[in-house]
Amino acid sequence: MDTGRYAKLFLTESREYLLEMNNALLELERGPSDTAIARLFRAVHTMKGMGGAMGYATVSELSHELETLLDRLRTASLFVTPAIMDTLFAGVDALEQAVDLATGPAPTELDVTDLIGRIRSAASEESPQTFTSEFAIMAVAKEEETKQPVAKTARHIRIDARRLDALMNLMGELVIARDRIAQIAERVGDEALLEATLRASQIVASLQNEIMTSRMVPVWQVFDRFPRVVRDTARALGKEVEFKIEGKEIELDRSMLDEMGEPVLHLLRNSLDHGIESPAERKKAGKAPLATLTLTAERDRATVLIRVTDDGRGIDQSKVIPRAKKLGIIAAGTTKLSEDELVRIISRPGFSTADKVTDISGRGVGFDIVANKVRALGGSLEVHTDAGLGTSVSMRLPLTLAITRALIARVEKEVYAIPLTHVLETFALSQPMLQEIKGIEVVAIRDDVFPAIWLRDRVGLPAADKTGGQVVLVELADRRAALIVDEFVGQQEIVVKQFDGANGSRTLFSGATILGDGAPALIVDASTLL
Amino acid sequence: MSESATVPPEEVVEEGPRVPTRRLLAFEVGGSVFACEMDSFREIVTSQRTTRLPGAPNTVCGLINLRGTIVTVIDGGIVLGKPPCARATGLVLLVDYFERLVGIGVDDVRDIHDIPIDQFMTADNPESIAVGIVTGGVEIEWKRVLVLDSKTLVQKVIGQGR
Repeated sequence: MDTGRYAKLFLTESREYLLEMNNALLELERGPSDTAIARLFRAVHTMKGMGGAMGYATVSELSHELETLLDRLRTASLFVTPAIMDTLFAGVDALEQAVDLATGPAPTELDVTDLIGRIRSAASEESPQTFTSEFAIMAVAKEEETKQPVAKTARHIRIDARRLDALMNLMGELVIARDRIAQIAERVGDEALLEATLRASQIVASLQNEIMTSRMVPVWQVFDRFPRVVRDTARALGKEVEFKIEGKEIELDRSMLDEMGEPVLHLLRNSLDHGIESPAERKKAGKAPLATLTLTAERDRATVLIRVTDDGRGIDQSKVIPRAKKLGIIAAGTTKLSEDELVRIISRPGFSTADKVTDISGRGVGFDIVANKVRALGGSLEVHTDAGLGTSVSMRLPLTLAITRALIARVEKEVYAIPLTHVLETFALSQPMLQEIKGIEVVAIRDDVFPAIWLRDRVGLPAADKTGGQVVLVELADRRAALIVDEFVGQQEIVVKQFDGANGSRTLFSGATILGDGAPALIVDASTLL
Repeated sequence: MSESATVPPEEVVEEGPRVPTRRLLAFEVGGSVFACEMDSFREIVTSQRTTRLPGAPNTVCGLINLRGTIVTVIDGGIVLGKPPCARATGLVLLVDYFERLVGIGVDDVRDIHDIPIDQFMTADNPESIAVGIVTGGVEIEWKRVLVLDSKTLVQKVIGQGR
């Protein structure tokens, strides 16, 4: 058999089974569970078969030994003990390593001699037998086994993600072409043409919706790997944590889901290391020794909120303020920080108040990585913290990276796109609105004043007389500013594309798009304006 | 629409002892002729509507739309220490760069030449050109022409990009 051709498929499927094993192990660790053992057994059994078919000796051998041990648990001739749990965790970890090594660029086999000895000795221990339990579990396992494959083959097919990406790109082109045709039809003014264009537009919109939906994946595909990480990290730090996941079924575009795993992991590690106290410290503070860490996904209009909440010690301002003063980030007289200021300070590269650097975090590289990533994804970050009670960090992300609605604005002859994610409102600029407070130019509207940002200044166009224009009120977290442009051209869906900037030059733009007339337009990155 | 200039098929001329040749594309910027390995170019397109890239140095012309892909175009003239290239009437040479395309704007494309490798000379790096871009010199139509490495040229302006 040409194994190379199948190695990728094997790797993808193995990861799913390894994830299933890890989650079943975590369930089993929480308390006796026949279904968890049945899930584990089934996943290990499948891996054994797959590994054997591919000729990966270690994978199939290790699976075989784990299967023997699990079989004894399944038949209740052996009971789960902490030692057996450790052996099973170690076995699944080794299996993961063996899969990676076997499918890597230079395939090798992992040495598992010691581990196999450990599994065998665990499996050969003597324990009482119970026949009733055996019968019940076998029945459950059989029933599930026969049900699943039928449902899978009938309703799902496996598609290479690149196919979906290609489809999405073509869809982007179609959206651009549609806008262009619509513009031409408008100019020609022929009724039949306009009607046909409108109909085509509706079909394109439905098609776009279908393609977008087909790319949506539930967040559990990324979230499900966290329970194991949280467990291991908490153990290493000697902390007791109950980890909860809420909103697993919330869906995000594949492109976004791929990118958000890393920042979430950073936030979880930060909470475990800095937020959550040791059981002794919690008791002293009058808290339950078992801490709670919650990961939540929530849909909010066209965005998704991913939130990490802990009931730990909160961010201690009395530690942040002196450190920030020392670094010269805040004024010497500052005694209290708003939540927004706090986010800005802890998002700075290298900022950390950790007393010691650990393997997990504390090098001051966690939060700024999260902030940068979220910004790059077109999202924003919010932090709420109560000293002594806990911290909650929310990442607000757009549903997709590929298509977004934007305001198209003109400055002189240049056209820019401003994503609506950050736009609060727009209004015409009139002379009395422009004021100066402490030497800073502001736009006053109703009872509020906002710093004025002239887009023409930012893009290096010569200053003009300030008699008119349009204002876009942009918002990021709780910072707001009035962005002034010459004119609004319209509002439309844009396909976000990346481009190469010049070496070392600072960029104001998060990407570029192609407008209906075929010309590229730059997408203004609100976070660099504020 | 962009017009693509097609590369003529290799002519088979068998005369005398065979010396391996390198195929070069000669182009013009600011009245000077330079040459690059033909293989380093994916395509040549006529000048497109270019969107200025604020914040970028003058070595960057801006962005063009190449059949739905956004391509950054470098000003070949300025990078090579010559006057800016003719943005309205010039041509854009598209270079494969880390699995994407980057354009080099030039005034005109002269010709394609198969130069025997023993005719390549070492050339001094003129002060006006960044070090590493010039790889040698050849004689084309009785004139000395600097041979450039298009990828190094792109790298000097773009870096690793993205």
